[in-house]
Amino acid sequence: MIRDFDAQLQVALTALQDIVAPALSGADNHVIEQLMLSVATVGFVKARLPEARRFYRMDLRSWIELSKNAAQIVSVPDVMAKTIADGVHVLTDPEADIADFENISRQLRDHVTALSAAAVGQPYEADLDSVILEKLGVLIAQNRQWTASFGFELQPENLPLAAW
Amino acid sequence: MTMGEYEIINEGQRQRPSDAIIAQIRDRYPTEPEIDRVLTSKMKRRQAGKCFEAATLNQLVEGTSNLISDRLGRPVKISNAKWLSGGASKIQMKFELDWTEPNGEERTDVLVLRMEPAASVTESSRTREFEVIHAVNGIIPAPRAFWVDPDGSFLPYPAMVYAFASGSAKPSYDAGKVSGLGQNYGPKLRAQLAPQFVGLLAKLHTIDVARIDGMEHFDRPTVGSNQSIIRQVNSMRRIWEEDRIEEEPIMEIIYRWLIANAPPLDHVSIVHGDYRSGNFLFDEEQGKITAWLDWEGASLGDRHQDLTYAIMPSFAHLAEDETTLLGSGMMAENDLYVAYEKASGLTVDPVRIAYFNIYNRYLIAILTLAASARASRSRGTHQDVLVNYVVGLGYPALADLRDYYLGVVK
Repeated sequence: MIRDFDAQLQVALTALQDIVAPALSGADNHVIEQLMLSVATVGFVKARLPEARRFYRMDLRSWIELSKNAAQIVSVPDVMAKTIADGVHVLTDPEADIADFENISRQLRDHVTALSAAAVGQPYEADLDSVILEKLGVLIAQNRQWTASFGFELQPENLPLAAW
Repeated sequence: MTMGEYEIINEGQRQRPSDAIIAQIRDRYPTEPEIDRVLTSKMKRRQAGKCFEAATLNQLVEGTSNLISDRLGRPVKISNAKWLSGGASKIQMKFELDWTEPNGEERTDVLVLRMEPAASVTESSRTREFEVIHAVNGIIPAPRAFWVDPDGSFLPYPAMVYAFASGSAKPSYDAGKVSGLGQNYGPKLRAQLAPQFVGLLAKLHTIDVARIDGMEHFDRPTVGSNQSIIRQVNSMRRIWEEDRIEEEPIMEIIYRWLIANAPPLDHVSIVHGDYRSGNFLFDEEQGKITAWLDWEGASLGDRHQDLTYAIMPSFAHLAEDETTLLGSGMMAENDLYVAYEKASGLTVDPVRIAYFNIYNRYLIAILTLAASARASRSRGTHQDVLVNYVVGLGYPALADLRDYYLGVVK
């Protein structure tokens, strides 16, 4: 495949950085700012694109794990149990793509949140919230690693290593 | 699917909300009438599938001229119009205006048109912004507000006109920084600006709200009640419901905590709502703050909201010792509180500090992971690439929210 993504993004970045940016010397600040942010955004895509399938697969694995943990604390609705099963199937499906992983992860996010909302005042409320807070701490750290190149981390060297 | 009061709204419903979905969210999270109006307008625009439509400089000049002429009842002349950069949320045009005051004084002013895009990091009311700038006039350095077009009758979107304020938002050696996030002013400038940063906050919070005329579009909270804070939490939750790309169960847990633990007001202050580095201008040579900007998030409420916002990690950086975290590039948290108590005569209450530390972290997570993400994806702004970039703050903000919350509840 001659037109691989990496080469396409590379030539676009080179044009923006080496040709367009110098030509904008003296332009309004917001124009230069938008160019630099565009370069940063395309650079993020270039760096992460080869890892995307692994990342979204890890994300789904984490949501399935959290959902199963929740199911040990409280009986989950049938629709959520089915979504968990769909997720397990997708993880083993060699033809599943990023959209499949993302779609089921999003459904599980909704189901876990709904479980938490329904737990208010129930004897298991604290246990369920505790599991959610603990498990998501790990996943949020991975999302921080995934987006660290945007430069908002005070100490990026302290983030856990990528687990995808 | 319904579980308790939580209702799952899918992505399609968020992208093109029906009247029923809009009404359902409004009913579930009641907030101040003017905030309700602004957020409902946002959803109606989304329902109609309206993306941001760029206006030319000439269109803005014509609309601004018509607005001012209508308000004054006579023609005006606008010249030297140009785009003004800065900020992540509003479209701004700088221009000169030759006009005659109602008292007959002829004058030429350098002014700024500040207009909303179709969607924004912070959906807000130009009318409230206009009113609060009037309220602090003569007390806090802020650009004089002249005219407002609250419904976009003259301009493509709601807008206001205020005086151009001189000064810089960023030090000359660090002009490439975005919107004051993590702004480092350096030791010399910091030492000059920090006392003013605290002193002006103290002045703002000690304005006698009961004696202020105007601010008709703000609810007037009652000392001893927590209802105004609950309405504010609901407005944030409403944005989360309307704008998020995907759910985060932590946000549900923390919303419930914020409602259950909202403290009663012990004093009503004008709260700026976005009091941080990047939102004030300064004279670098004199080391003096010349103007406070971005009053769009202002409310009448609890001073601890501003105090904790100013020291959010998102707007902080490490000092030269590489251990001290400087809130807004100004000072460490405890130093800020001590200086504030001395300057204002008001107490800094640790319980309220803990509450509003969570409140503001919740807010930042929503503005980044929901409002910014939605606005940029829906092609709603004039600088989607900048708004999208700000989304990168979302996961550090969410981690910070979770960690801080766990520290408080444990």
